Amino acid sequence: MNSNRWRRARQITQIISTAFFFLLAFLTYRGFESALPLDLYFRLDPLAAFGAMLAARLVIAAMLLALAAIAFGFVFGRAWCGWLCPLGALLDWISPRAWRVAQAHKNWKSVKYVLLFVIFFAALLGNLSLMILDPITLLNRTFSSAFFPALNVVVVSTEIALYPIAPPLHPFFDLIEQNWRGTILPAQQTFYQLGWVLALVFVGVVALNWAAPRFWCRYLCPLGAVYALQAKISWLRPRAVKDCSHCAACMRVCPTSAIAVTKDGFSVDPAECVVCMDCLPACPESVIAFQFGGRRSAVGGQRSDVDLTRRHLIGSALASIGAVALFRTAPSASRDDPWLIRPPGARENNFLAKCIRCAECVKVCPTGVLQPSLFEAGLEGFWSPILTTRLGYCDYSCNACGQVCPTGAIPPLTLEQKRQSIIGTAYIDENRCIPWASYRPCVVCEEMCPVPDKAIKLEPVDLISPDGKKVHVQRPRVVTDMCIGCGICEYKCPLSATAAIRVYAPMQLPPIG
Amino acid sequence: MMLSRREFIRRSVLYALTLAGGSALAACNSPTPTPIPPTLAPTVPPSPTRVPPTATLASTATIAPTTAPPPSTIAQGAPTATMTATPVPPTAFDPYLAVARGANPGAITRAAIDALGGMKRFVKPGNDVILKPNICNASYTPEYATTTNPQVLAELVKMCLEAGAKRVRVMDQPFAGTAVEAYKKSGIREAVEKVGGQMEIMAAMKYADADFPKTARDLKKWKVYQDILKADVVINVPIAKTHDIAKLTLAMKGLMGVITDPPAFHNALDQRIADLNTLIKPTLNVIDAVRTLAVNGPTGGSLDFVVKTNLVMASHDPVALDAYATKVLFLKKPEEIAYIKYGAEMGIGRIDVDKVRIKEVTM
Repeated sequence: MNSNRWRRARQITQIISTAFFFLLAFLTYRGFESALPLDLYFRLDPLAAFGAMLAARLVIAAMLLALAAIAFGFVFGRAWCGWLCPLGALLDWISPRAWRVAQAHKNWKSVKYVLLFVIFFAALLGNLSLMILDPITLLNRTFSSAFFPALNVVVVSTEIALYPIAPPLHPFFDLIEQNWRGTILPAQQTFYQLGWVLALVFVGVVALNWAAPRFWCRYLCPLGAVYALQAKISWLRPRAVKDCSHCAACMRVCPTSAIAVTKDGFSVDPAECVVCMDCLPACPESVIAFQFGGRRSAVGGQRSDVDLTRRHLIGSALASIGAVALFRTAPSASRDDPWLIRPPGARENNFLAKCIRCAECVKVCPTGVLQPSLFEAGLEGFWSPILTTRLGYCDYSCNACGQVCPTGAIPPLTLEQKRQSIIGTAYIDENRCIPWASYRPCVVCEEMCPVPDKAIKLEPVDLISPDGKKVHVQRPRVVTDMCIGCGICEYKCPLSATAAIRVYAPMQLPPIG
Repeated sequence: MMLSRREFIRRSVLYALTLAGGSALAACNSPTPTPIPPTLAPTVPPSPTRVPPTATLASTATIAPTTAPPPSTIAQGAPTATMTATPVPPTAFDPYLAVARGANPGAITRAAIDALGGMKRFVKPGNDVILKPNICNASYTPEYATTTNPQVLAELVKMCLEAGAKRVRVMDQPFAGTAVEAYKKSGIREAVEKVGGQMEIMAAMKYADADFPKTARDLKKWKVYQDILKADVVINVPIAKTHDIAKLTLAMKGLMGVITDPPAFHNALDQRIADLNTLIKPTLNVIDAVRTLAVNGPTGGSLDFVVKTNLVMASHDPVALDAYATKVLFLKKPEEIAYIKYGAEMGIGRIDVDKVRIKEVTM
């Protein structure tokens, strides 16, 4: 293959890989049945896989696929970043060529290693908070809680706007609604409290491209750092096969400033090279080649800058210890936040040490009750999933979150087990509940309660309202021993704003008497 | 910094697009409903296939003249929505209400409709038909009696197609779980598609504000699924269940599946159910009481709550049908169920079911 073909192959691979990533993301819906592993990109993510295994002190069988990625790294260096990473591809595409005259901010290169080591030491201490910086989780989380729901707003609004005025489009709309609704389009509009924050973070990552192409990849990405460490000893690497005229054309096209051409000659830092092969066609003398053979060097140098000092290592270890220790002095470590409602089975499952914050559960949840949290689980649990039961409910017929969780942080419960799993407890606010406070009939919560014997009971009472009218109402009461905390009562409560029945973190008491 | 003209134009276009996109998104998010011309009525031509209301015969003395529901297109100012489909009252020779009893759900469904004079009375060749069952959630299979019996529905689909229907759609909006899952779990998709019917997932775009007739006491305007208003024939096929505020879920209440935001309905539920029936007037109502959910409805969840009642009952009059089911299935006085009482008061139908001609068939 000539040099241009390699570049073309890389571009096509990037397109396919990114398209496949988003295909899997779209297919992550409740009821999807196929052999496709929906969490493939997480299983291939050594940072997420071994981070979770280390933090949970557990071998997660499905995620051992990441060993293949490790092997890949030792052979091809950072080729993942240049060829396969969907975030890397997006950053490539959004990066304007005109700005591709970046200089290497030499010291910044170390940041990604520091982040990686902070993540590593924190994982040793059982913490995964910084897994939010994993590029695959970052992209998936943005997709699940920002892009995907916004896309549905666009689709539905377009349909609603055009339906009454454009009858010729009806068959087309019907095609979409009948075939995609409830599968690759959400069954209902979902709402995310942090959607815009996640979108801004993503926009920020993209905007950093203005400072330097692939700014995220070269300076910040902790997964890139994993591969960079491997690339320092990887088998495949670029080299100059003979001496050249030092025209520096390669240096100008390199998106990660891995190439340095000085008067001493051509040299490349394999830890920075993402094997994009843009330099091959750029070289007027066809001097550069990607060859297997490890450190054995042809003409031209192999730079291996010292990116990582002992100081960095000690610093990141101390930072992790400090941060994790501080997390454990936070109120969330002492008492649950009242709104800390975890997905079914997660609470009893050493959740924070397994959750990689990938938001697969958020995507698959058909009602949108699962949300990346803010501080409900403390800063430590930032962006881990919680249920916000005013925005959705945990459907009694659904156990999808446990089925898609790549690390088993949400255990793969059967539907029967999930129905027994207590995730919260509902309490009625008698000061606001319609029959209690407003002397009018309402039993929506009781009607909706999916527990077969009904965890909400109605007490018929005859009352005189404050303005002297005789009324008959049924007042709801929660049998807390029976409540599983699914939250459909809170979701459907017809009160405006805050519901008069709310699900709190679970509370289990011994039987009466 | 001087911009080249090219660069200036490029940036202007970019900014303009961003602004336009942003405001478009903002507009999408606005909770204000898309204005729909309130006059859906004139644009929907009355179906040519309507059976004209017939006078009652002297020989069936017990049958009082059918309380004619007031025409929903009352003049006087504000236009109201109308529904293409209308209840088809019995001819002189047909019973007002039919009940079939037997072990085979399909067979008793057919028997009940045949007792009313056959599906040809309700469905004309070329008609567009919608069946509206109760598919309230995705939790259980039909044995739990939370969703309409698939065999009853399949038989109705078959009968509509035999009568020459152009298309038979089946749809409901589950209150929990997704329609895709609920259609599957209830066994309804499989049964309906096997006999040539179509399952439709009710889409947000098809809900539009409908003005209620002046006869409605509480509801003035609510969002209603437009295809229900436009179809030539609508057959309401609820399953008989208990329900704690309205006490029973039968035909009249089943229509809550074709409106948006049912929880907000509940503050004056009984009146609003009756009001709903002033606008939504199915051609025919068929109550599936093959299995009846006797306690802890509408969600159920235990086979202990289910009574095998082996009945299918049908009538064009939802009030009479509900009143009859209340008496026969739940052994209560129809007057105890407020929405049935209101429905009779408002002239939607008859509550005096002991005075109408009922045909019973036992298989």
